[in-house]
Amino acid sequence: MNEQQILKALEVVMDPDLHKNIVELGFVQNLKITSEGSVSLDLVLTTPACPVRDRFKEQCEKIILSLGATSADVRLSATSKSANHAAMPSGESFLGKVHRIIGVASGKGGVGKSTVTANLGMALSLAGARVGILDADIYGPSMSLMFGIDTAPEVHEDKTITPVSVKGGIEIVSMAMFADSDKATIWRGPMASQMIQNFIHRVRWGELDYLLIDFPPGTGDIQLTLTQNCPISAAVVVTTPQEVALADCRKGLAMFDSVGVPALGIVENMSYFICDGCGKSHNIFRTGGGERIAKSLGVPLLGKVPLEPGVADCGDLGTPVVLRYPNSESARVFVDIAEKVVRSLSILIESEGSVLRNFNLRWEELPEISVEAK
Amino acid sequence: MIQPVKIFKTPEGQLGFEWNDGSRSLFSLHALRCACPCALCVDENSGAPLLDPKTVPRDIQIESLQSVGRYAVGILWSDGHRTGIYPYDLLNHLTETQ
Repeated sequence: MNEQQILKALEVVMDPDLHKNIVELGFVQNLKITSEGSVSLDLVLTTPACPVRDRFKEQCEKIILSLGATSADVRLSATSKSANHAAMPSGESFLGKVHRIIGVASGKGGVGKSTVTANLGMALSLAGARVGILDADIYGPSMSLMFGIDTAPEVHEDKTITPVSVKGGIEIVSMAMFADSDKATIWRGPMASQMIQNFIHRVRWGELDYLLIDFPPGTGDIQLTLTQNCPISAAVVVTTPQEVALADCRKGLAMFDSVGVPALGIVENMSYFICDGCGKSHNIFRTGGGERIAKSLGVPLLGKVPLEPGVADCGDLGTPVVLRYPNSESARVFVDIAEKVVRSLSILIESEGSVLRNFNLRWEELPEISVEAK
Repeated sequence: MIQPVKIFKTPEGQLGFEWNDGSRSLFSLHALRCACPCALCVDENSGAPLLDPKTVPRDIQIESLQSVGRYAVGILWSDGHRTGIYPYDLLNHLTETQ
């Protein structure tokens, strides 16, 4: 039994999403065989929240043992291949250490973007990822409420901000932390855009696997600032089943399309009602709206989140349902959505390959290539 | 969505893009400056050109290029013009019609 044989044998372990084997993908590292015949290796995955990590580990260990090893030790770790490696356009920024940025948006307000963001963040964090949430809703910030935050983030002398660490180890920055909760933020566009730029570039996120951005509703100034200043990897669009929300959801998707941000899919919130008396599911609104729009726009429906009276107060009480009632139907759906997001995001990043992101190049720096005239 | 995999210059001083569909676009800097789609160069409502190509120096240079989100490149020109954001699909479209 030598290294080559082991690697050859491990080639049968396929990544179900990337359709390549784990050796080809470079996941297998630090392969060591001792003289006693015990084998150890690191399985370096692209995301710590990989939903199939335990299956990989089990498969690898079985294969190694079947080759005659006395013991097999497969250690799981992750290096999120950073999508944001190059220098940031606007000088110094802390986004360089943020591996993936996911925008959570909707065309219409009140569909539950913040609830979805909070629970998606919590589900990713519980799966082992380092998660941050940027609440970009300047006029109606609700992330502080969702997590029951009453502390203000530390603002340093160089005007950088240290985010507030909340339940589940999630780092959060929200406008609510800077303003009196009873006072309204009454700003014109340029002020709001300036604040958003501060949030994007001056927050000391540290190393994050996922930064979720809770978009304000609509398709205006702040949304454009976010998509122009922030290298968003992909977006999730939240809707409710009514036609009026779906119409706006289309606009949200169209906005991301026009700025080149791929949509991972649609989350249908308040999809149906689970009665706390009889436990039966009731459709309050028309059904199938999410499916219809997903089909007509060619993006997947990531999940349908029910209305559950028993757990609906979680947001108001400051603990996301995924953490507070992990066995509820709502929590189950959010965890499932988080898994789908992780998987489709790694497929997406793999497929983008060598596309240039986040560059700031001086003319002198450009490589010189001679091209024959057509 | 068309996106660049490489940005380069040619020995003749043109700006080149290699796109993710394998195609390439080449631009003379003067023509690209004149094609600036920003609101100072093109009227926002009517689409009428506001920039007189005669006022653009023949030997105009690019100082730097920056990504704008995922869909465009912002170009800083040697004449001090810095508001131009060129969406990738516009650049790709310009080569087809050149």
